[in-house]
Amino acid sequence: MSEILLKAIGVRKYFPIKGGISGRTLGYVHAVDDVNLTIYKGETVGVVGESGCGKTTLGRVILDLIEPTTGALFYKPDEASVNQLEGLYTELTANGARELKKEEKKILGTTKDNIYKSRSKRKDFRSRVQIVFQDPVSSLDPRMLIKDVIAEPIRINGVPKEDGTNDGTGARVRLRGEVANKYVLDIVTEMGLNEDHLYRFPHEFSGGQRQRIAIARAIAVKPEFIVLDEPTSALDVSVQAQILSLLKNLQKKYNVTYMFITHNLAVIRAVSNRVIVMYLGKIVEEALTDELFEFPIHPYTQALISAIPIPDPTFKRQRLVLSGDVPSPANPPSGCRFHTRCRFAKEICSTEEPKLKEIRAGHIVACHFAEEILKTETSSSGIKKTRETAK
Amino acid sequence: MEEALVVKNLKTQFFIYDGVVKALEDVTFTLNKGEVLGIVGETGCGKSVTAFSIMRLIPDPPGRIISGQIRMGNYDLMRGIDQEAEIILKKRPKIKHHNNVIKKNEHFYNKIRGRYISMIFQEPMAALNPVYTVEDQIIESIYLHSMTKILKVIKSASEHLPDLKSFRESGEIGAEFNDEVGTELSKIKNLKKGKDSVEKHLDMLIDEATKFSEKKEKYEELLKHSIEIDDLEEKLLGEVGEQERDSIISVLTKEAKKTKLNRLTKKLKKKNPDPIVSEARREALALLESVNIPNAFQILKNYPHELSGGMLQRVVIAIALSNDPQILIADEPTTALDVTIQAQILELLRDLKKNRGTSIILITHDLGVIAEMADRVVVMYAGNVVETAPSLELYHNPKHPYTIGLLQSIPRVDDPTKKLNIIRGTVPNLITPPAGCRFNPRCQFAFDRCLVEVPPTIETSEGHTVACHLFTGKEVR
Repeated sequence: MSEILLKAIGVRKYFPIKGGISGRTLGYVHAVDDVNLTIYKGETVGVVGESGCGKTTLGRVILDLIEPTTGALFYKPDEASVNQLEGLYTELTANGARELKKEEKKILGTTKDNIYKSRSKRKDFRSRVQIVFQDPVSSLDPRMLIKDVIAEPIRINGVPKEDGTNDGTGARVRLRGEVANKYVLDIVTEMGLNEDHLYRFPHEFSGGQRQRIAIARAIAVKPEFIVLDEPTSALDVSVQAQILSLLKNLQKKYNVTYMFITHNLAVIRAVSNRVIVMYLGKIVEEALTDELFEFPIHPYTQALISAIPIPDPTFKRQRLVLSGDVPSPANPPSGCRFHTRCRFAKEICSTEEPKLKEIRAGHIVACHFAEEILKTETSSSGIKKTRETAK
Repeated sequence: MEEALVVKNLKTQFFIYDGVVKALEDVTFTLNKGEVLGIVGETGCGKSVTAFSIMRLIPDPPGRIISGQIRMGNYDLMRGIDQEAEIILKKRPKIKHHNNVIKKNEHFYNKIRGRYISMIFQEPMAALNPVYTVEDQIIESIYLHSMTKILKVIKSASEHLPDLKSFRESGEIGAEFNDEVGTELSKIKNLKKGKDSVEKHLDMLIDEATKFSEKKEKYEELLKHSIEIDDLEEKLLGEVGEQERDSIISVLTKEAKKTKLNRLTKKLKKKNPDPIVSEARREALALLESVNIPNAFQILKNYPHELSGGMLQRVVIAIALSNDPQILIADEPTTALDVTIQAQILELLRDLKKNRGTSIILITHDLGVIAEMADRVVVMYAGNVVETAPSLELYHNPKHPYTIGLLQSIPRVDDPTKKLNIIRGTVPNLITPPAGCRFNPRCQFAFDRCLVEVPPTIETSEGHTVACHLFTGKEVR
């Protein structure tokens, strides 16, 4: 296994719901609930799920854009301290989130590599990670020239020194004036735009071009890690293909790690090495891409995969249409959160929450009936197998 | 196969400050009865403008249908468009006269929209009015188009009152009748929503029927009047002389003033509604149940913001189906939805085609959705139809370079090793479209002829037409 770049342990993010005249807290939206996540260097992690399942929140917590309610984020941690902390969190989680929060501060003070440890550490971390937002219209300042849009991060965060290696330890240098202009031009040419474009405003560009600009801004500081939050969902298929191939080329060139958040499984399959499936703030399944698409185990993943429209009219398969909507994350169902829509649901599902367990090599699933499903069902719901039966 | 809708050489343009946007150049296609016709293309290639042109919903100014033919069965849907254009194109249109002509055409078209052709819009949140309840908005469309049917159902319900009461007691619909209430009852039976739902429907029918019997004369009168109006409308849709048409329109205008829709909301709020409202409400309930909305009776009273995206889309579909239209235009019905909800909505459209025989035009940019749903596909690019083919043929033997490019640019879940191919560039600005074939700047096969000459549409095999200079064969147009 390659080097760990980022590790998130026990991440929870609850958003308070305020109401009434006095603005009391009426409850919490459980956007992300107890998620452990490891990101390895150089890979692309895909995160899928329906809207409202907490994918975007998770992406933002990982970038330290919002502070999690509980949980810690480690940047290039050493194994020993992480293992120790993971054990502690599992113990504390049993006592509930509130208890955990009390104890958490004490623990976090003692571990190193924790990005919350000091202000400078946090700032340093943020200069090495970037994000590309879903909507390229609202993520670019309408009053800034493209030149300034791209130059801003390199002015503030700097870029790694040319001789230094891009491993997060090398010194960074802030670029200004002519050097910065030259640098911006290089980046922009690489994105398939030209010098004229630098002196225009965001509204003069099409959706695809704006997304290129957003990617240029992210890549300008030569980050190690980029969160791509639905970068292609507002674009046409032809433009989507352009952006995806651009992202692939950039990854090869700069050895950057991606977290690709999307609800489009076809895109996930095309770009990612590893896939995480989320449902109502929880990870329900995690596996390497081919493994997941060929042997989906969690009933939710199976339904998701069977719902992908495939551009081939001869392709026949068993369709598993889920009934109903995603329940409200403010009041998630007890036990397994998917049991209200699950076709295998039994009594145990509504009372006891399933734990993530490794069912096949590197394939983690949170379902009470994972083993049974694997034995009987999977062969008929994976994409590859169905293709054979269709023939 | 019988044709449900024929669109020929449709040309729509928008006159804006920067110039003339040539949104539709030459759009020709046919929709057969009972089929799903897919229209695909990138953003800005004129898919939605085609739909809006068929519905005559192009805002004027700035847009205008310049020329072309749209026929639905025997009805010419482009009636009066020349007259309108003539008036508008005159330097100083006399406002009064202008308004009269347009109003007359509107009358004609109001009878088509929602009754014969209806549309599912892209953004369900934007398609519904946020200040009215779901019920209000469904009943509005029923009220406008199906008054006669409502009255007939109530009348026949009053004739079968004792039977209905016995059904209510047993909680089951036993016998079948051959009149209006009979068809309604079998519809309720086919919904299979359980005993509660059946009882609810029967309660409402019994209530209506009792009220009808109390004031029989009044409602008989209303029914007679409503049938007369329907006949007049039917006449208006066919070929009528100028004078007769004017007289019909004046009657209908008076009638329209009488049925003020803003009173509908008040009527709906009454604790003890009159039988017409309550029958319309019962129909709305049945519609919501038929699009698989759980808890339909409560949802009727909800406002749009209280529902999720998938639910709203179902409500919009229910409104579109409220008068059993012959043609349904679905403009990107699933683009704003999650895959699992998309699967539900597509399932619904599939049932619709099977059970009601509705002809559907499905507009989307998702070639996967088209592959699952459509019988035939129309590919559009920059305001032109570039390829038309049965969907099997199109996916396995695409001809036009644009279609090939589109198909190769989709990431495939079933075949991840397939390399993504890119169509260079973007859709051209339609104010100054490229000369010759509009696809030539992006086409890898473009040669000198493409730059100057608009390609003719050529039939390469039966039912497969393509507009490209690369192919030779019988010219269709």
